[in-house]
Amino acid sequence: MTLALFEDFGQFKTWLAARQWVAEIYRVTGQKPFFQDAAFRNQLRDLCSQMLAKVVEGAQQADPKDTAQFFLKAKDLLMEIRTKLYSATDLKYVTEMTFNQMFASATEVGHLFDDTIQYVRRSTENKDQDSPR
Amino acid sequence: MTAETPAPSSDEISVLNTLLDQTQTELSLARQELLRSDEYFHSLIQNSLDVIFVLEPDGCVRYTSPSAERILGYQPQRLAKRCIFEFIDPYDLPKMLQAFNRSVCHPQAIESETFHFLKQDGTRRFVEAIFNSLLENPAMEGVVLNIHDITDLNQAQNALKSAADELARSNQELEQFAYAASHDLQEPLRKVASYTQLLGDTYKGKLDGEADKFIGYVVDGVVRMQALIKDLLLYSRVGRGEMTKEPISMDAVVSQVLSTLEIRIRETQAVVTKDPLPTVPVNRSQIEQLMQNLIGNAVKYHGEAAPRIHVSAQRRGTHWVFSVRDNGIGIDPQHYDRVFVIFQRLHTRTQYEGTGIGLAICKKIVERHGGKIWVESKPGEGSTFLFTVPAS
Repeated sequence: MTLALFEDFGQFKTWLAARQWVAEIYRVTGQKPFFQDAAFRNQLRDLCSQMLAKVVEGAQQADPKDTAQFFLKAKDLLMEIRTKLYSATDLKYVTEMTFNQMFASATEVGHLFDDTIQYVRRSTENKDQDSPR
Repeated sequence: MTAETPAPSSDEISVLNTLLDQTQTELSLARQELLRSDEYFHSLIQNSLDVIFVLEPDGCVRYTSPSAERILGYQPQRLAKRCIFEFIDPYDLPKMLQAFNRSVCHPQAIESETFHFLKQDGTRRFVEAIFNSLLENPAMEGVVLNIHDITDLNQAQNALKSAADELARSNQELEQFAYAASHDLQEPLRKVASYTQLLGDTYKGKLDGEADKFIGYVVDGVVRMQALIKDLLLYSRVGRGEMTKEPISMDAVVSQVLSTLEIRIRETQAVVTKDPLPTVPVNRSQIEQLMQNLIGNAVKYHGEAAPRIHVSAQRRGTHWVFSVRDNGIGIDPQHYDRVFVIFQRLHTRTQYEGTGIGLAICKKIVERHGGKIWVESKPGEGSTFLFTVPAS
């Protein structure tokens, strides 16, 4: 059974924030000279699709413990992408200002992932307490 | 010193005017042709059953074909500069992104994917998307995305699959029932058979002649019912459980079958010949049963002449076609399908013994192996039973 949190998944705040952040990554990597570095661009874009796939899979799990695991994996991927933004700045593919904005948005998405994990874990604990021993 | 250009003569002006008129006419014709061509392509895109997008390298919409309004409910100008990712069903977005990434990585290559596209009214359409990256084409510098609505087709396929699943489940239940019924009926019937046999042996001649006749009928009926139940059990077993396949020499299978049918072959003076046969991946016991039924039938349904049976095989593409040909009584073409139906018999029991399950078992075995079985025959001219088996 899907958690109530994910019932209107398309409007789920964490999903919307993650998707917008990914769109921003695509925008940044779609500009020259970043776009011309095919290997780096593809690496970053692939990580983005993997991250969204983890969020989607997490929302589809029947067991909230599995949901939490998928969101943890999504967060790991988010952090990996965020780290790669340092290299993008060093290579002058993004400006300092863009980096700061992207970094801040990533941190915000990360917090939303944490909130979701906390919420899901709490729902598991409540269920465990409610269930007869 | 400056040289004065002489004024053109009236003849020269007249020639120039003619040339100018000609050029203007040609220009006008070319413009009309261009307009016609433009209208032609516009009409082609407008009436297309697909929606065509041109995307920027970051996934933003640069162009949307007018058909988007008819198919997806969006006015093209409302999609301009919006990120296409917003219009993809969230659950399908990761795979759409992967297809987009692959397309961007491989210019000119065609990438396809299926996903749900969100319509303007909030409903979803299942679409087949074709990505064609023309980023390196100076005239385009974008990714062309062609979207074809396959919702109805998908629904029809799903309905078909559900019906097929339901049919398979129902068949499985029926087989389970046939197996359980025939298995459980065996024991009480064995008891009935034993006691009627005992009754016949003990009271033969002690009761009147009518009683002996009636006991004979009962024994005969019970024996026949036992044969039917045994064959029914065999039939339901063919469809049950896992079927292990291994490479089996069909030469060895036919030799084994001939050994099993030895007495009947001797009694009927049948002559069985065969070509060299291949080794095929099959279930040994089932394929032996199949060959035993086919050769057994060929031995059984003979005319006045002694049976002459020939077994051969021929490779056709990915399958082997095996055939069992005889010189027997043959089958009328109108009964070709009937012979494979369970309990269907073309002759009375007094003409030829049997339960009418043998060829139904053959059909089931062949179909479980992914093949087909059929018959080619004419009354009085013998029959050839053919079946296919995948070669690998």
